Amino acid sequence: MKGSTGHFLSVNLSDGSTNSFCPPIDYYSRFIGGAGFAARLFVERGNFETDPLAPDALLIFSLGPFAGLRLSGASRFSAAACSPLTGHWADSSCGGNFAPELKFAGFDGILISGKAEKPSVLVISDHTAKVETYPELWGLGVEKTTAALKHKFGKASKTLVIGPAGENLVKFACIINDGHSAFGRAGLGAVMGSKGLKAIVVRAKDRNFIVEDPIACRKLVSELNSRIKESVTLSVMRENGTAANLEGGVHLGDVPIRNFTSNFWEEMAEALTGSTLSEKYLKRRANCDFCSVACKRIVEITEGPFAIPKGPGPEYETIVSFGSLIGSMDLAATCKAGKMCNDLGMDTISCGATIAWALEAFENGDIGVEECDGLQLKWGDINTIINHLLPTIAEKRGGLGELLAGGSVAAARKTGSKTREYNVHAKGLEAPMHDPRGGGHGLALTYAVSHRGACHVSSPMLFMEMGACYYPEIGFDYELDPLSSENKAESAVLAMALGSLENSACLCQFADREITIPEWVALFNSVAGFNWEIHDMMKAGRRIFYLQRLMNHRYGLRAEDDKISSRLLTPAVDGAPEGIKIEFDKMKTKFYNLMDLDPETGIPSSKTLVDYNLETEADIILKG
Amino acid sequence: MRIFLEPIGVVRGRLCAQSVEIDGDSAVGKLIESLNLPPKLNVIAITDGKRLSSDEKLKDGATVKIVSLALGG
Repeated sequence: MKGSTGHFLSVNLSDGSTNSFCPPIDYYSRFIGGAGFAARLFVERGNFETDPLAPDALLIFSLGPFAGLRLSGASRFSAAACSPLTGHWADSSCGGNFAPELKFAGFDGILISGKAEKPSVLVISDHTAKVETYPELWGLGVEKTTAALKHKFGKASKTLVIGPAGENLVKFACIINDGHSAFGRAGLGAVMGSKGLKAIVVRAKDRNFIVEDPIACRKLVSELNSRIKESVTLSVMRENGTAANLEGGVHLGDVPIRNFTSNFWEEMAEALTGSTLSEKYLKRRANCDFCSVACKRIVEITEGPFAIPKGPGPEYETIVSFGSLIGSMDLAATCKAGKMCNDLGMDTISCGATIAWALEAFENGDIGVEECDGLQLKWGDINTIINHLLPTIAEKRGGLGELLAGGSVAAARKTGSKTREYNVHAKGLEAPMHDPRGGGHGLALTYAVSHRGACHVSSPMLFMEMGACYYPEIGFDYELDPLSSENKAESAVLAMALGSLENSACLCQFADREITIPEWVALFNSVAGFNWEIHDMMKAGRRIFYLQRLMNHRYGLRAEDDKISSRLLTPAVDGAPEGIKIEFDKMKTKFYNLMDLDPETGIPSSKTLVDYNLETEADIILKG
Repeated sequence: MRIFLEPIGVVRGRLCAQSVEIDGDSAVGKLIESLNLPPKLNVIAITDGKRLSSDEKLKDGATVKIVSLALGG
């Protein structure tokens, strides 16, 4: 199989054994790589009855066919497991530099099972791997652990590390690549921590990457790299990061404020936007391997209560999660909070959202000083968040730390029914920092039907609603009004297939906006030799969507779980979307019809399963 | 008629004019076209916090915010 190595690494941490195996060849063209491939491997080798944090739970890292290709946006990869946060199948995507290195080392992914007796590190080099014990790393933050591993294995080695939050099984713990990029969502850091696996290190000598048609591939990659480099929208990202247009987002009502209770805060808009970050704290830009977009920030704050040394800075989600969402417009504080979350190993979205839930619960008297270990919580009090809440959560210290470390949905369940009104999520995953009421009504639908829960990268719906996409070859040749339900179900059908392709090919959602549909097909064909037409590619995307849906059906999810919190369906009280209601049920019903999903079970009909060649998988999943 | 412009976010560095002169019966779409901004920025106009549709008529002396829909995340 070109574009891939054909080999997966299997690791059993209970006995320290490592083996290489070759997945069935048809998996590559049917499930591509990344999230799709990981799902299919789990169906083959996983157990749906296993607790996400039990030793025999599986944690899968999976590359796409383009990892190692010198193409902007192609250095991402997926991690997948049953999520300890949501209790169902989930995957997370990470950029950075690990994916190409793992491909060059000879593997398309890693399948991890078991539990190490002592804290361990998985060390991978050219076609080999071993598990080494490193008890001295346990308890260290991500920064010190990464530095120690670089010292031991060389600066050119690439790392995946968990922080104390992962060790302590915080339900939204993340996994960090080389101190900067993250598998942020769904708590996969806790799965790694439950296995006693502190880190994975990879180093490859070779830089070989064999593709199906080198001449066509080189020409196409060259064209795409030039276009991506010259793109107006991506140059905006390069200049001012992923928060470049945060200010514009505030005026559109897309940016959540005080736990999604407001959609407009003019003073905050300029204070937190990307150009302000550039002016005040940016030291340089950084990029994922081979990417010219360079949307990552390296920042330094030299004075004040939130001074931090030069290092990775926050992206949009972190700035909003620890800015407007918690009622603060202190940009330096978002940098500090983001740095702390990285070091402790916590997803900034779920962490910020869970704290926002607590602030609202405290304000309304649902929790008090006693439940908060003596702390007073109030909107905008970033000092308390940084100095007390973040370390308390990561260490699950006291009643408050224990409460919040389970995420906002579990916290509301423990606290009382009224506080459930403050949850903003889908399927137990806290919503990202795009409010569908202002960002686009179709986003409400894709948050709801995404397999992992409220997720803005499960599909390109945000970009489609904002007019950044034009795909006439697959029927998306019209403009959408973000604040309407018109054509949203039809668009979501395409968006979910495209999202599955993105997350399985492991392409960046920013960079791949510059790639046309025929070029997507040409990429798959010239790299992996799939010999696809457009409809084959779209069918693969939808197949992956259906597979993940079948898996979550086995985990107990039904059509009624395809919903979002009532707060997001309540008309906004201010800003551009004020008073406009999202017609969610209408969009969902139409989406279900178009996707042939049963209105009760939420899974496709037998005919559709046959049409998408999923009979075998459905048999395994549904019949056990 | 003269329309006063307030560029927001990523539009700010790309729109130098503080106002533009357009035909008396022009709608928002015509105004946006006259700004010559890169199409991929996909800008819209907002007045009094509300998004204006492209066929909405403008009044002489109106001030509009020009906002790009190009969001990151």
